[in-house]
Amino acid sequence: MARPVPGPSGFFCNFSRTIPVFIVDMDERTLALRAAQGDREAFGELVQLHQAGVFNAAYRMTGNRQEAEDAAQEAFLRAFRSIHTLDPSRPAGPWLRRIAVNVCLNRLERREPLPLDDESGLPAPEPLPEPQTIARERSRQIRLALLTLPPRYRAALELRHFEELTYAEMAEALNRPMSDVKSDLFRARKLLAEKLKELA
Amino acid sequence: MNHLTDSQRNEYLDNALAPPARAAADAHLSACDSCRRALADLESLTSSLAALPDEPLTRNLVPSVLAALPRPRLALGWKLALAAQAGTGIGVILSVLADWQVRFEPQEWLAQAVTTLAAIKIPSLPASLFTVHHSPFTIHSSAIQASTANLVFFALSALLLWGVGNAVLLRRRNGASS
Repeated sequence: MARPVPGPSGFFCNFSRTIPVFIVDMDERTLALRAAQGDREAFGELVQLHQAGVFNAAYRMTGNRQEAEDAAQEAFLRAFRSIHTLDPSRPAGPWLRRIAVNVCLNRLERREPLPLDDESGLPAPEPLPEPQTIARERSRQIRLALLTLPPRYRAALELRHFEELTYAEMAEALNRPMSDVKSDLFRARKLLAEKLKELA
Repeated sequence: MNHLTDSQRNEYLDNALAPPARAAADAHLSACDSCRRALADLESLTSSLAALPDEPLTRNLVPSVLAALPRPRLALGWKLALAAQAGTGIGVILSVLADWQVRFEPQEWLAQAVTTLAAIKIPSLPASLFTVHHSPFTIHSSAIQASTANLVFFALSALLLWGVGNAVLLRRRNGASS
């Protein structure tokens, strides 16, 4: 679908002005390349594309909506500063979510545990058929159980189970030895299974 | 019979065992109910995590992210282009001044302006251009004659810088809009 895109930004251009240029199917690679050249509007498009995924990674790590939004925003700012390290031939989503996991890890390790989101800011859920109610309750239990784990265990689970990284990639993403990361992952699974049995 | 260790079960689940170790684990699992149950528990945990639904994002993060981005700094190409354009302007002004000096008797205000310019240290400009003798308001005729060569030099330099500057500007502008 064609959509208007902002004009070039530079010395002789008004940053806030939008010129009627239409680009069809601007792909993520082009956006990443333009963002790497300092194009803020292209970076905005990347944020638009990946904000839900980054937010959810942060939400699984923190269990708190406001904290997750703040962490997602911080992750995007950090990504913008290091956008030159993004390989344009690879998708930006996993890279952004990895940054989000590290941001959450840093934030969680330097402050008190946050309360689990009570969803008070969301509209009241509509009554669901019993199977869906059970599924929702199960999801709540998993999120609760996840939040009982130390932050670095959560990070290991997030990177392995949601980002599907290998042990070596996890070690690289967390900048830790692979043996430590594996140990965290295995302990995290064990603790999570025990916690889920308690909650069930 | 040695049961699979916790580490082996996890690595089996993650497809991280080397082929011989995986074959050995498969052989053991086919004969050991206890290890099969332990592995099934791990697989069940994986399924539970995979079934965790995504939460909807209730606000668009784009405006706040864009507002918080650091101010754009002028790229090196732009700086070079601007320097070239500034050089062009200075070159044109100097050429015009020198040309006037050659053709007309220097007026007092003009001599003063040139004297002021001479006070600014510009390393790349020949000092002879601004050499002032006798009084601050009179430019010596030899300096005026010597500046004819400088006039050509400035004019050509200005033309070159103008061309380079515009080429860089056009290239960056086209690159940004394509």
